[in-house]
Amino acid sequence: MNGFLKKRFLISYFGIFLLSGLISLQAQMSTDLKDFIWNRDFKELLDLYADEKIILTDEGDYTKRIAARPYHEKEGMRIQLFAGSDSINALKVASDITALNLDSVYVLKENDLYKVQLGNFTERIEAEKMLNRLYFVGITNAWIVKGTIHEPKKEQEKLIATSVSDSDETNLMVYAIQVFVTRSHDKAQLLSNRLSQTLKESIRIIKQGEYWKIIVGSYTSEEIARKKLNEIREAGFPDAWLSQVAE
Amino acid sequence: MVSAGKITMSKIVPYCPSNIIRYIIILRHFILFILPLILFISNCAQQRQIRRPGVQEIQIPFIRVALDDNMKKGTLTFINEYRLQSEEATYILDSTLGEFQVSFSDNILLLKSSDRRFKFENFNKIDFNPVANSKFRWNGISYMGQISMVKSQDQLIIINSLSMTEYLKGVVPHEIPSHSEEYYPAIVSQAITARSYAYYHLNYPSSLHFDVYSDTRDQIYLGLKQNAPLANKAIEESKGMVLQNEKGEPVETQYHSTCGGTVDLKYKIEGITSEGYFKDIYNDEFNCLTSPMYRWVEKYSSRDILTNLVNTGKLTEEKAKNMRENGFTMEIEITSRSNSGRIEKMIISLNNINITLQSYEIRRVFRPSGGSTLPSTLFFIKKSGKHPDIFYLIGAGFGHGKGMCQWGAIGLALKEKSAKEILGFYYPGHILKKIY
Repeated sequence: MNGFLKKRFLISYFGIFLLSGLISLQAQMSTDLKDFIWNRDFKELLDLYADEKIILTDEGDYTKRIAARPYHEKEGMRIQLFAGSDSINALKVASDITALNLDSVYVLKENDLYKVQLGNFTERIEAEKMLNRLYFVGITNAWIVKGTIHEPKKEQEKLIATSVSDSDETNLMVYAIQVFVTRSHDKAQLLSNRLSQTLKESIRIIKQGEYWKIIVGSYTSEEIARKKLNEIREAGFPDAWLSQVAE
Repeated sequence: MVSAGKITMSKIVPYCPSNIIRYIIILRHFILFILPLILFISNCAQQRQIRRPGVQEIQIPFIRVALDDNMKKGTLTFINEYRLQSEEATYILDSTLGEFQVSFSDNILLLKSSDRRFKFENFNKIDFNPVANSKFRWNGISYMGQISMVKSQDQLIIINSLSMTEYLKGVVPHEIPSHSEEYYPAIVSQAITARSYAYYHLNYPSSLHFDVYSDTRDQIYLGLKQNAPLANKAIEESKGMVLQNEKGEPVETQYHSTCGGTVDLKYKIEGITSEGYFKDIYNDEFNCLTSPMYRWVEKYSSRDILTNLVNTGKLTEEKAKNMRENGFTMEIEITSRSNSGRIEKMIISLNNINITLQSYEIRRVFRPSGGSTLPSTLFFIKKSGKHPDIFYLIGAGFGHGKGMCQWGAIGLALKEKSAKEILGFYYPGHILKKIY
């Protein structure tokens, strides 16, 4: 093999080796982040994984409000029963027609004109059927108008909307109180026993490296954890500090 | 200081004519050798004093601590006897007068209790002087020493002046866990570091009117709030010990809670490492693994950051409201890190509005919900895989990362290292010296 080929081979080999290493580390990071960040040199973590730029998007309240509606807006037809400047009359007409329980009733205000409309129809024939029903109950001064109508969303769409807003990723760490750290397990056990007589919270002894830590409680909010910290300090453990531990 | 007046002849020689010549010889020796020597030593002592104005050696120095640098309202109780000297009289103040409500507005200072009322209009400084070891209570916390009220540019500063020893007793237990014998070398290290820091500020005060603040701007000082016998013992045993640079000058020995594995050497310690940081590691184990804030994770939405930007004055509420209503894109970019990995500069772009954040601003803007500030700037960002507006900061340590890592010192103490070894580890190139 001549020198040039040998050089190219070495570069390719090194490149593949580096790439495979990074892929495996990336996989490890996503699978077990907690242990990963705890046991490694943070400076090396930064050099390997620091995402120095992220882009976040927020669709805004207006878009959220539109998304939260149980219907889509589209072009169609409605039956108009009233159009006038008198709002009291408009409400009376709306109330009378609602009592008949025929379809959805809408009171709109457009250019200082109050309108009472009935139903959401995509086809003219459906609107005409409704007009006939109105004739039968004695309402003869209604007419078909074109405009924006509400089309109900399908059940599947509603489900997706709620799942996105309600579900969340599991918290990686929880707040807790570190009361003591020592290299002696016996000491940790002794203090843990003493603490269990004083405090009602859960008490854990965690081993980290050569150290034993006594950890009290588990809180999802820092605010609650801080309140508990003050209580523990006042209970005779002034060296207690706020901490975060892997759940 | 050496005084010529204190030197006496130790040998008594009886008077007789045969001794006159010996007297003359002794007097000649005295004039020729001893007197110039005394004058030389005396001159040297005076020169040493000139190099450090305002700071006395040998005696325990006094320090002026600002309890509040912009007081509007407060409460004051004289637990023991204090004296207030005015032009017309000397007032004796003690616990029988009850609690004073102190207020300052329109350049008028009022002290009101159920029994007494003091009003000060044209004043610069009011001193309440303790009789012996008298104590007072300011806003519910007891202190020892003098309390002064100083007017400076329409603001009122409350200052507590006391001996360095008493000051350190109010600092050390609030800066490091001080109730375990196992931590003792770390507590001694903290006492020396806090004393060195304070001693530096005696030479370079934080303000014209006082030497140090009583909060994280300098060192946390809470008077007699916590009695920690181990801290008191450490302060007494290390009495007068300070860290100095190789020229023998005082140094501002900064320290912090938890380095997270890397200590920043960027400030004031030059020529120690070329990288500007060192790993806080001993026997293949990070020393601050002991810390409750060794690693941490905080979760945010882009709206949390929007709110924090408004609260820190980086964005107007009007613009934020518009963005909340109509949506926005937030780009967070880290543009500069120190050699230890701490973020020095970052840019937040909001719908093309660029906001630059530096050092402590970063910790304020990324304040976690329900918390005070972000623990440190040693972190990386991870975007949520599920939500386009959620992200996590995965970080290490607590504090600025300069000088001694307090939990690292505890880690070293648990590994049976002495205070001298701990200080040597965190302040390489410094000299430990007893100055009083």
